Amino acid sequence: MNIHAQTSPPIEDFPRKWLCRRDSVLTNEKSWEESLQWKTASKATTQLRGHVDLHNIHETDSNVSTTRHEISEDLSEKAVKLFESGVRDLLDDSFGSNFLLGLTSLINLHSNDAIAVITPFVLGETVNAEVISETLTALGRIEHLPSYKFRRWLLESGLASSSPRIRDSATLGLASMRDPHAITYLQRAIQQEPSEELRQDMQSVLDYLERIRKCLLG
Amino acid sequence: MGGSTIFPSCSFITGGKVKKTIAAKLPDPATWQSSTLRLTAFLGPTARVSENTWWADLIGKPPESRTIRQQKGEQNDQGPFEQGTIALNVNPARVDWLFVPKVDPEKFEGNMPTVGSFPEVVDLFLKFMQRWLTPPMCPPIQRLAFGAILHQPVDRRASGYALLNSFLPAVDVDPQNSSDLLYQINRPRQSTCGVKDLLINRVSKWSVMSVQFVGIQVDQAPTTKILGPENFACNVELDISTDKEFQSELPREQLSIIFQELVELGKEIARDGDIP
Repeated sequence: MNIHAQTSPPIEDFPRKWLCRRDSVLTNEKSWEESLQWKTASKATTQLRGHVDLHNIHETDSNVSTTRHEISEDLSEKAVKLFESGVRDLLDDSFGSNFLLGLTSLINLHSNDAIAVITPFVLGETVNAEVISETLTALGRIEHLPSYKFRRWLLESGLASSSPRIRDSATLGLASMRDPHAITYLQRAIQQEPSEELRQDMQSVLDYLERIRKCLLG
Repeated sequence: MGGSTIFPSCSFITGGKVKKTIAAKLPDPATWQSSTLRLTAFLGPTARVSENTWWADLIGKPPESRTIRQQKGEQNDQGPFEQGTIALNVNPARVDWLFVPKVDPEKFEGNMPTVGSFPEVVDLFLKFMQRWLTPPMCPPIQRLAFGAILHQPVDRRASGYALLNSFLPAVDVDPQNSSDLLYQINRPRQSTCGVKDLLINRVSKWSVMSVQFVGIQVDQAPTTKILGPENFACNVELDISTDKEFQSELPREQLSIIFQELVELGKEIARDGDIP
């Protein structure tokens, strides 16, 4: 059954702002079909190891582990330098591609650890709002499956930022992800949003994600 | 806490052949010593934890030590609790509560550090954590875990492997001619606490460890001194957690019950070994 063709929303339904955004470095989102294929493929299968009752086991990989591992100081330093360079570029009026290349490279190399080190900058709002804003927009578009959930979590968290610019970018990032998981958080954000304009933007993304959810439910 | 548990006789079938039949006598769970007990909460996107007052709310006084790492958004608190130390580690994405031994160098006798017998201290830890998990204190949580590192001292390596053999019905260990075994498995189960579609991962990691404590004097030319004999122990690390695929935040009013379920599943592994 080819559900992808039936469920993929028409391109004109995407939030207008999402289509208008420049994306000089990152390639666009994976196709709808690819997203669904990935979800299917991510259901881990168990490898036969030893004499074990395989019917009662799945996922023997380390994905289920909750033990904490220390993130290297080196990686933290890289994140600090990235954000510092972002702020410098902003002052030079050359902000954009270098920062986004650096961010993409950091995530490709360090996956969830990279998201973990940028999270305090984003949620603590300790760097320039424009840099955070570009970070969030990019997080919604980067093609990197292993960090997908953590990126989505960070975008959903960004909806509660004190900065309207950051809330706007978090909304935009979530629109790029096209994941109905964000619906609950958008609904809450809309209820608390003081800016009428931003509330309307959030509502249009919410409507868009609702349509996706309906398509997925068939 | 006397007596021993009799492991039910059972067969495991692989490829149509009977693999192993066990009617082993397992030791009393009270023989498990706790090296670490842990609660981990993965926070929901709406959680804001930077200015929490959990330590003071639960303990009633400020922590003995507090370290803030602003750049990493981390807070580490520590202080005494029962026979050990409680540590609270917070960052924007997760909260860890750890109950670990307090090692006093003056009174150290070379034994493996412990906070006490597992069945006893785990109930203390559970009660303490249930206070934190009761609204309105706890933040929104999307995944919850109970972790423990337990050991049972044995007299030699072979005894450790013999003990592992009885805890691992699906594995054949030759106690006399084995070393470096590390066996990790996840045996997920559906939660029975009433939360729809909640899967619980039951990860256990089994090994025999050898520990010898060495003191290092650093004031002049560094010298080392062996502080005790080589000790052996059967070791199990438990990591019991709600599944990361669960799609929403866990219901706040049920967090306490969910954590209790995780702890009970941990107790079951300590009592019965690696069972489906």
